[in-house]
Amino acid sequence: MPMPHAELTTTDLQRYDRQILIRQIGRAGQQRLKKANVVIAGTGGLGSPIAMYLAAAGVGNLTLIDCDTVETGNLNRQLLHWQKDVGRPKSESAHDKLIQINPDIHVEVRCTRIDDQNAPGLVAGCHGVVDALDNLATRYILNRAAIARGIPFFHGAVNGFEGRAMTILPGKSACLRCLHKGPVPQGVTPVIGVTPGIIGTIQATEVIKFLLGQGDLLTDRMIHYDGLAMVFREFQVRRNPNCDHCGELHQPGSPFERKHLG
Amino acid sequence: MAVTIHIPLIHRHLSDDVETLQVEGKTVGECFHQLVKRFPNLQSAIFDEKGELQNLLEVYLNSESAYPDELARSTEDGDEIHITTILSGG
Repeated sequence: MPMPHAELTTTDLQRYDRQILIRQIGRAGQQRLKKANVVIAGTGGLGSPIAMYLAAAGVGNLTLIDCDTVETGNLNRQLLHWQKDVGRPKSESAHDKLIQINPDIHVEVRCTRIDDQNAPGLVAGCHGVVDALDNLATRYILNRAAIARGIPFFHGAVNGFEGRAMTILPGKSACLRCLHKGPVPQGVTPVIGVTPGIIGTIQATEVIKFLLGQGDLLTDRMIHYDGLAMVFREFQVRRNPNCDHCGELHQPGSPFERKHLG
Repeated sequence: MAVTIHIPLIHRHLSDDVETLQVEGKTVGECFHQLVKRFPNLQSAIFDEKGELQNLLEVYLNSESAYPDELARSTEDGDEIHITTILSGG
């Protein structure tokens, strides 16, 4: 999707001076970030670093989706929420911090639970959807919605000292559902903040690269992090032609192909 | 044929914290049976009641996804099998 440009103000040039110096960014790249519209599903352990870094980098429009309330048990990892925020809706807490990090971006919040009915509308019109969720079922709902709309989906997930991330370009690379085999047990996930800190930052990096049109994305590549061994591994994944979310996209002559891939 | 299996972090309490194990096997399935023979506590973590791979697990053979039909994939001397789990936290 072509990224429209936006003029940079004097304040922008000051704020983003150090990243504008990066060859892959420059003023043109910064303008692309400023005009971009990104949806972040979740403002917890993953959502916090994702939103904070995208805000700091000057992604001009962020939409946060979270229907939860801040709890004490969130505070070990959800850096957008502080002690004083316990009892507040997370969406409000996150909004307040992000506009203090960067008052020059636009932050919208949706205090809603994502389901099959509202997901397509929640992601409509954005340049990218970021997975900062805490359960598999909703991840699949969002995956399906992003695939249907042809919107890149930036997956991340954690457990303890372990994490993973992958970028999904609908119709071009494997999606989250391509690896699905059947129901898996769900329970309370053990997490320490440094793990989603790392994975969320990887996801934010992928979003920025995509918006800039720079670098090599984690497409058909699952990066796996083992914090105890301090090892990153990369695994190659493949599109599943029988995937019930994206399988039809890869059929030559499919309606999706005609619409999105030209 | 020595194949190295990397045991996922989430299941290391079932393998006495052993991270890797070298086994003999001509298929991923045979290798996994050797793994479970060495660490019986991994039986239900690897296989479901029908003897198929648990849905939670992903298998990468030499860093490439072995899905589908993971257990039937051929293995050779020097191969590396990484078992990972679908993660869902955030």
